[in-house]
Amino acid sequence: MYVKRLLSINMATLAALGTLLLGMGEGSYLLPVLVFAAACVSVWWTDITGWIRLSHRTSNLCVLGAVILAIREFWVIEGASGAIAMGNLLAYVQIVLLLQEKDLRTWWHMAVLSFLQVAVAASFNQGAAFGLLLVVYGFVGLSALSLLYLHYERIHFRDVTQADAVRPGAWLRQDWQRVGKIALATLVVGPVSLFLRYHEASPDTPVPQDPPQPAPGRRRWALAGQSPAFSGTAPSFTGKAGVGWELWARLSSMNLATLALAAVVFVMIPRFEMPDWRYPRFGLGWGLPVGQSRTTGFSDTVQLGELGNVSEDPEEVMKIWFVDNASGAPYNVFGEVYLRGVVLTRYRDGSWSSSNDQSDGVEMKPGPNRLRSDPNLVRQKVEILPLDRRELFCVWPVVSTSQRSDIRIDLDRERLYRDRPGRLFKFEIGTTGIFNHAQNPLAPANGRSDPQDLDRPPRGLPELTKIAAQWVAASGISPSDPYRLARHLESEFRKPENFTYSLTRETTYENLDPIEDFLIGDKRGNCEYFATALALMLRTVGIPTRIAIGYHCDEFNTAGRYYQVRQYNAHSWVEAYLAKDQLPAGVAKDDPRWANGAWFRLDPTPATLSSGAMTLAKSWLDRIEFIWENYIKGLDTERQSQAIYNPLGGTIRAMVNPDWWRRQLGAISGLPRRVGQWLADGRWFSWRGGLVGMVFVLILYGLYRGLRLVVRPVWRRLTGRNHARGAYRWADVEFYRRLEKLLARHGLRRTPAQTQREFAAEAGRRLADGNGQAALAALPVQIADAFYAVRFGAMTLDKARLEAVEQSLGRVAEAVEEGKRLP
Amino acid sequence: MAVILAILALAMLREMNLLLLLAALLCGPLALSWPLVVTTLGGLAVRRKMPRQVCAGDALIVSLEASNRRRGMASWALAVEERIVREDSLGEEPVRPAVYYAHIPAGETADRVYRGRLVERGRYRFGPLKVSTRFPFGFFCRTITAGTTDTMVVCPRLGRLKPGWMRRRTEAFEGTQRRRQRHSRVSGDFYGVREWQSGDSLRWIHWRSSARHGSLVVRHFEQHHNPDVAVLVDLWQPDRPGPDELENVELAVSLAATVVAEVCRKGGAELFLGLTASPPECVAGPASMPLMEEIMRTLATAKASSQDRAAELLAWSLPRIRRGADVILVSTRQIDLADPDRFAALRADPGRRATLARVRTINTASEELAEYFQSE
Repeated sequence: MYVKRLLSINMATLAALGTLLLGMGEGSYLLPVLVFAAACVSVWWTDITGWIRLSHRTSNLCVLGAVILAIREFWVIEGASGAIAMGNLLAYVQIVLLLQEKDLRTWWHMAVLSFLQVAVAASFNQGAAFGLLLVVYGFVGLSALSLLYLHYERIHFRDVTQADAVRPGAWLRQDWQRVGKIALATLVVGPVSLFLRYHEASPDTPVPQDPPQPAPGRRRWALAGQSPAFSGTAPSFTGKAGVGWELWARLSSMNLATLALAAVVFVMIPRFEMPDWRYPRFGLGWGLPVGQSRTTGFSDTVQLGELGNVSEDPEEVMKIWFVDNASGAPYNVFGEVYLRGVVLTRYRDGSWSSSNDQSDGVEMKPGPNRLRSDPNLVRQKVEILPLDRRELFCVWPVVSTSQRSDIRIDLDRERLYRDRPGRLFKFEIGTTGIFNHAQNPLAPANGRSDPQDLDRPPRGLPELTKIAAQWVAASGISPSDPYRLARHLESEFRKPENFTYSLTRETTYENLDPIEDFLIGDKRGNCEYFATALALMLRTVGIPTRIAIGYHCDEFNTAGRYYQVRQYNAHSWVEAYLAKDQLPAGVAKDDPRWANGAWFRLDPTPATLSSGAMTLAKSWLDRIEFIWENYIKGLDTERQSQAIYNPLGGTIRAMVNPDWWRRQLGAISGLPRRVGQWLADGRWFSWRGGLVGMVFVLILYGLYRGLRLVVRPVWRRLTGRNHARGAYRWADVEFYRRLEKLLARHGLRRTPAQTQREFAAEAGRRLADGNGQAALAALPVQIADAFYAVRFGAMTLDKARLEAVEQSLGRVAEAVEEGKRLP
Repeated sequence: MAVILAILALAMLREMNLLLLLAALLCGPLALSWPLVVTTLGGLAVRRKMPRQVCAGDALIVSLEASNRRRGMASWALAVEERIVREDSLGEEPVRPAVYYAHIPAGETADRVYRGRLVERGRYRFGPLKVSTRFPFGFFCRTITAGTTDTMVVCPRLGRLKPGWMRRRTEAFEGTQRRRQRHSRVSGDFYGVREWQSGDSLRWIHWRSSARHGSLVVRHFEQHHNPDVAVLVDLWQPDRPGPDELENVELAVSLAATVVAEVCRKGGAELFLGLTASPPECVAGPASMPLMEEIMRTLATAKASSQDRAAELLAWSLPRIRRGADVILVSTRQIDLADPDRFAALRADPGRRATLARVRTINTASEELAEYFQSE
């Protein structure tokens, strides 16, 4: 029963965990919550009390209902892929199984279903939490399998021991009937029919015995026609069957070994070149990982407020590494990085779009040597996960360092394209936008279009114009200093008393332009509102502006040394044009780069606060995520070669070389000499270190003793060991020790071969002989009897008996003193 | 394995690393199961405890004592399978009772018993024992051979002698035996001790031996009060025996064994058992438990033959039988001792002819047997 209970709990946990993993992949936690509730109900009300148990008919109806529901999800609900429908179906059937009366087959089905759920979950785009939970799932799964096996064996042997009950012929007939039913049901509901219940004897219940067969005829020999029959003792179903800490320890160590083995197998299995169909086109293939058909939050015609739909999505979009062009070493960039994808110039009724000039750009070719040899050039290595856009994102201005036929550059509109969207894409390009390890807020204008041609603010924005004029007037900055003016207006938007950053907002004035509604109505909005307002305001004061859409990234992965870009990093900001003579002080105006002026980056969106207390934890999470993203989820041919095969091959090649062995032998043979030198120079010992070490060890020992003092009584109380080992305690038999000590002082010691009673009898005899009083012989025996009662009889001596023992001890002590030395 | 390969193939084909990870995780339990199965069976010893002999059809209880000799590792889910086969069987399928040990902690011993009955007499070989486990997941099964091989004699099934048997015996002996005066119930030579049986006097109990054995033991005296008995068993069967012929053989052996057991239980007589064989087998001596055991072992392995050896058995046995003994010829067929052709040699000797006249024949094939003997 104990094993069955544990199995019940374990299977319920397994089902809940499997569904949770699936839910993590689907991005929905409704089913995990439902299965968790069903698991709780199953353990108590189905398995223990038996109050809720679905009948065969109800179970079958529920399974059929689940099939219909899954089919509906597959065909009717928009956006649900086959994998999701299948995962949901598995969860529905799991719930039905949880609420059934369990037998071996049910449990096996539950385990299989749970495993299938995890397999489906693995086809989704999962984060590192999936891996961590998979380890927990592994342990629960192993223990469930082990318990299921132990339970199976006991049932199997119970049937074997009831040899007369085994009816092979009947079993065969029954099985064929079942196969027939399954085949018929499979035609109707598919493989799910395996989980339907058929009318048949449960393997958990004993098979009814054949009625006694009448003798074929009256035989004179009593044993005629009989065959030998044997049966073993039926396994007990009441004990723990060895399911205890030792089994859990064994399974835990096995789980650890499994993890180690899995790691080796996983990294060593060769990957092949990544085919395009690894990330199927949108809507194709049931195994399409969720999230890969995502939109990026920008387009040529961004509508105000659209970005908010995806702004909270933590889905990864891309990674970007910065590398020093000259040395090829990783290049640290401090602060935030703005990765531009699109610039938009035209604003109409809350909508931004690019200019009408449609150009597909030119194929990317290496830039001029002059630019490529720029000492300030930093190379950007970008890895973009599958997106539905062709635009590529990076720090501008860019300098192409290689030729790529699948990348096109549109210098007029300052955009980078790839030939087609939807697949994992890697590219490398240089930039001069990073200077002294920080992104420069100024980017040289290329002079291919006249910034002055940019749209003036449309008419009909009186409130915007009015507020801009007020802020300019209040600042006292001359309109001839666009740099300071732009900075000032930017700072006005960043003041918390003026505006609040929010992904949601409500329209206050329906008849107003959305940006005017933002300025005078609900003063909350996302980056688009802030950028639009600032851009239009700057235009009203005569500064040409444009909107840049891309990603604003501040998440640096210290382990992988890259910037991690996610969906919620999608951002829009303002670029204001400054003519050569309007550049701020400190900028070398004679530098040819600024000949056409510059685009000055302004970000009016208020910054969100980040908690510094979580830095350390985040650093570790970064590492985990880096390993997960690059060496588990993203382990491809290239990384496998770099991280596994090449080092391994190098080591093997080195080991083949005799010189390598000579060097190792030399190092080993020189080890004693080096250790000797190290010891001799005296630097190995530090008084301060020794003292600290000693204190540390003492503290550890004190902690150990303290914990032991606290934990042991609790543990004994919990495990009942106080009673399991009997009521024997050393103090309780102290009187007998006193007797032995007393006698030992006078030369009578118990030999190892003597029991306490034998020793007491001998001591009594000697006492009686030595003192000539026969009554003394019984005294040590009385004390020994009391010792036996406490030590082996688990008794506690009452007061009267304790007094009697003490009296006997006193009389023995007197007798010994009188006799001095026992004969 | 198929599941892992399927997932592996799918994962590699679609380049889905998480599925690949799942397949790799599945490899662990599969690969580590085998070492664990091997370890679980290490350091195990199994000992069998069983009686030396048992009567056919009687309950047989065998205890299997499994010891886990390792210091720090328990064993789980052990199945121990016995193999019982008759030594002279020709292609007979062995009987394979099994016991199950759910858990044997390190350094401990666990007992399990199996029970059953063997319905045919003979010498049986027990073992070797096969210990197997599929712990922890049931993926692999490993079996090792443990323990020694033992043999046990399954004695003939004992039946019940009916009152008709005693009546006929009394008639046969009336006037030929003088009733001896019993001076004491324990007269005779001290022979040894044996277990107490119902009907034994309390005065026969040997208390010191009883205390040592833990059960009542009585002194056993060689008594000479009962008439000597000679049982000659003619186990004949045709070349191709049918069920009835086989039954007759078993009835003959069982009747002989029952008579021997009865005589030995009473004691105080000389017992002779002759058995058709080439040359004829014989066991003789004062009726006692040791003699009974020896005779039972002989009868347990006695084989029937299609050769007519009755005359040979009589010719060989009669000179060895004490004068005045009750001679019983148990046969599986009708034998006419007056047949001058068949027993010509015996009838030619006057001394033997007289002895031959005292021989009582019992045909187990006849309906007459039911008057004397009941097979149980």
